[in-house]
Amino acid sequence: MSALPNTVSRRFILSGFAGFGLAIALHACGQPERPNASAEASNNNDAVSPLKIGLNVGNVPWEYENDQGDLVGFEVDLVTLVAERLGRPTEFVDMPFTELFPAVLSGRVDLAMSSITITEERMETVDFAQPYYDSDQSLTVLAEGAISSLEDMRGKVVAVDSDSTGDVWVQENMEGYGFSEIIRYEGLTAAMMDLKAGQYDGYISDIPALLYYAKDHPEIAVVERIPTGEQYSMMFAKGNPLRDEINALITELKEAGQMAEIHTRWFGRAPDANTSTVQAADIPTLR
Amino acid sequence: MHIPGDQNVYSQPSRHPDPLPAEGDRRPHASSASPATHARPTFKGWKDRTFSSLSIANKIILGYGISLGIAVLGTTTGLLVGDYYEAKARHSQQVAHKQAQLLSQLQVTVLQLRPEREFLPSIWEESRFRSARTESFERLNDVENLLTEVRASADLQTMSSMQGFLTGFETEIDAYRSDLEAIVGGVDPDTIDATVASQVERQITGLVDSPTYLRLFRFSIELTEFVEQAEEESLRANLALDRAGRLETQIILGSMALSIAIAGLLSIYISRTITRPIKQVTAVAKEVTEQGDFSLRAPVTTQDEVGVLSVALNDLIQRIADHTRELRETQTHLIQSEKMSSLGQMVAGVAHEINNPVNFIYGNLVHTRDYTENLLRLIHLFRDYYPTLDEPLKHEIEAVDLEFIEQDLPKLLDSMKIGADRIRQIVLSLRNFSRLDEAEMKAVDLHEGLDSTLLLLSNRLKLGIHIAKSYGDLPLVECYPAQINQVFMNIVSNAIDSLLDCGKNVEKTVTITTNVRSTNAIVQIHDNGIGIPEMLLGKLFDPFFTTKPIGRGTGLGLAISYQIIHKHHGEIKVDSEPGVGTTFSIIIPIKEIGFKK
Repeated sequence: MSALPNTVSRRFILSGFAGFGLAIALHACGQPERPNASAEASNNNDAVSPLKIGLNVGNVPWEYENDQGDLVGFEVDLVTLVAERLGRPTEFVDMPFTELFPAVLSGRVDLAMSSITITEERMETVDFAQPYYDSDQSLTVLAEGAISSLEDMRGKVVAVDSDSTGDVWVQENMEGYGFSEIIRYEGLTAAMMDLKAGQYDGYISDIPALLYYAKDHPEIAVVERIPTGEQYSMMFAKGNPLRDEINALITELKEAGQMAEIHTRWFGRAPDANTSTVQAADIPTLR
Repeated sequence: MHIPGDQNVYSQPSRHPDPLPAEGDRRPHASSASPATHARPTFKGWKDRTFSSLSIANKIILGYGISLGIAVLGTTTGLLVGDYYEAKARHSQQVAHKQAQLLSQLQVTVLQLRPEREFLPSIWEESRFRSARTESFERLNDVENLLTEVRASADLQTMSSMQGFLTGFETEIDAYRSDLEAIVGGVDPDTIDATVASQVERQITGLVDSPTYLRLFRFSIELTEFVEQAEEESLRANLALDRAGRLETQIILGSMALSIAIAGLLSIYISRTITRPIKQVTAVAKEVTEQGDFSLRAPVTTQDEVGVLSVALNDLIQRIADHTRELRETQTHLIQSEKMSSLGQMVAGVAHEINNPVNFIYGNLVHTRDYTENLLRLIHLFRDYYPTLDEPLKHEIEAVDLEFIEQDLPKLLDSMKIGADRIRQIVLSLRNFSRLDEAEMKAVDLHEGLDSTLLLLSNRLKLGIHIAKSYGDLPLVECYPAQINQVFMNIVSNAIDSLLDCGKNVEKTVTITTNVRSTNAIVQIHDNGIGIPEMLLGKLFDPFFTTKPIGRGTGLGLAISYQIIHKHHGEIKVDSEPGVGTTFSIIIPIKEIGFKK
């Protein structure tokens, strides 16, 4: 009956047991890992997941839809280059300016861009990369109106983009310039329509957007630059490691002259050499 | 027939490890191992040792115990592992669910912070304003409590972004609270008038329109994101719960299958381990019975009942082998001693018959010499007295050559005496050799026996073989002399055969040495012949083993010698070096009491 030698058959049997047992063990080990693994994968910004960017579309020339309906703009070009270098596709999420902050914090978007000024107050809750544009505030009025400077705004109704640095400046200078009332808008387009319709007298906001807008709209004019020394940057949730990664890429883009190229493309001239568009800068920190 | 033997083996024949081979089925030793012996597996490893030492019943119990144990262990493990993952999944589901609830509640509460609805309708009514203010701040407190609760319950791993968000949210709530405080906190409802009321109204409207309120609103909307995340988490926990259940089933089913497989394999294995040894034992028993090959042994591979059976069978085979061997030896010896006794009787008779006539001759030779001398002296005397002889007498003296007769006659008598002497010697040796008249134990001189043996063989010794004797001081030894002589005869005769067969160009010598060692007499018979090949040493004393051509040797000589010495409680040993020579040593107790017949 014993066709097999004793030793061979025993070894066979034992290895069979071992294999079977191992299969069970591996099965037992492997199975429960999956829920955790998938949870991690969904949290991780791994290479293939798209880079989600929160934008306030309509903010010319930073991000807006052109006549063909394509999303274009300085910041769109910039973040596209960054995403290319990261090897990740982009996913743009349009939202009001005030929504950018909670959206970044909740992780709904990886970063937010919308000519966001770096401020101490904002840095309490969010992180910024190095600045890429130096800006000031400005006063925009109807081209054919009576107002030609901030002084003329005494007793007049002023409008701002809600919660913007313009809003902050107006609140701080309400008394000084004697504005009668503040009207807040969310988005440039609506504010400009109301300005043209005479709903208020002067619009205080970041100068580059208004200059750009005024180029194509001769009925309005930027009449005064309000020097505030603001700098724009990308905004991240606090502690997001993506900030340092992208900050390094911004340095690269500046050093390679690509940032200056974007500037030239959107403003028709090369940036000044001593601006943050050209010079690599440190990551802004709370003082 | 000159055959060496294994001295150790033969010193204690009852423990002969190589049992008597069957007649006509003589296998070479190397291949005489039983088939079972080389099919026997080498048992190594503690498992085998432990397992083989168990009894059959224990083996069966162990086998089924293992498979049952695995089934129970597997089921228990399955249940425990399943429970563990189920509990884990249930916990994370609960956490996620609770978090989703809290977040929704927080969102709803924040969205209820509507200062224009809370305060504007009540601004003109003192009591309503008071309660509206209280309610509003209570709501704010609720929000903050909820926020703290959410923060505490937030699973940092799954919602790492939440803490940063909540910090931002808290800042916004604080900003709102301080703005609201600034507007309605300082208002005394009792002294409220139109101016104050319209100012509050304006400020509240401003607050609703302010970035602070807008930010708070945006943050509370953003909570939806976390509610969704929590719901997703809850969903994942649900899936994990399902998986835990499935895992439990799989482990249980797997271990069941494993235990069934083990039980199956074990039953095959155990039945093999039980039946194989039995079959081997049976095969050995059958072969021994059919072929009478007592060199076979049942392999003892286990220590269970089958092992005991194998040992018992092996003992039995050994006993039968021993008995068979004894029987055959006795038979051989009987035949031989019968032959020898007939021969001895005949020799004794012949010796006796010759002895008398020879005694006549020998006894009369002395007188013949005396008479002859007397006659010769008488002739001389005649000559002295009668110097002149007659012619016929003178002629006759010359004719018989009297002078020559006088010289030759004493020599002739001497030679006759020598011849008669030799005949007497031969007769004496024959009687010595047979000694049938001495069938009882006797104290004899072994040297005498050796000498008479040599005399009997003297004819063959003339063929150029030298005998060297080195006799020690031997006392008389108690023995059966005829039988001992027979042993000497066999061994010396073998030595001569060996020397005659060998072509060595040396002086062919048989050396006989005797001495005493403690209570034993030792006789060593050495020849410087060709020696014995080692492979034959073990068979030398086997009956009917011979190297001689058919007709010359019977193969009994050494077997009988062995038996004789054994009967004397002595030992017979052989040392041989091929090409150098062979030494047979016979060791006999000098005084032995209680000889068996």
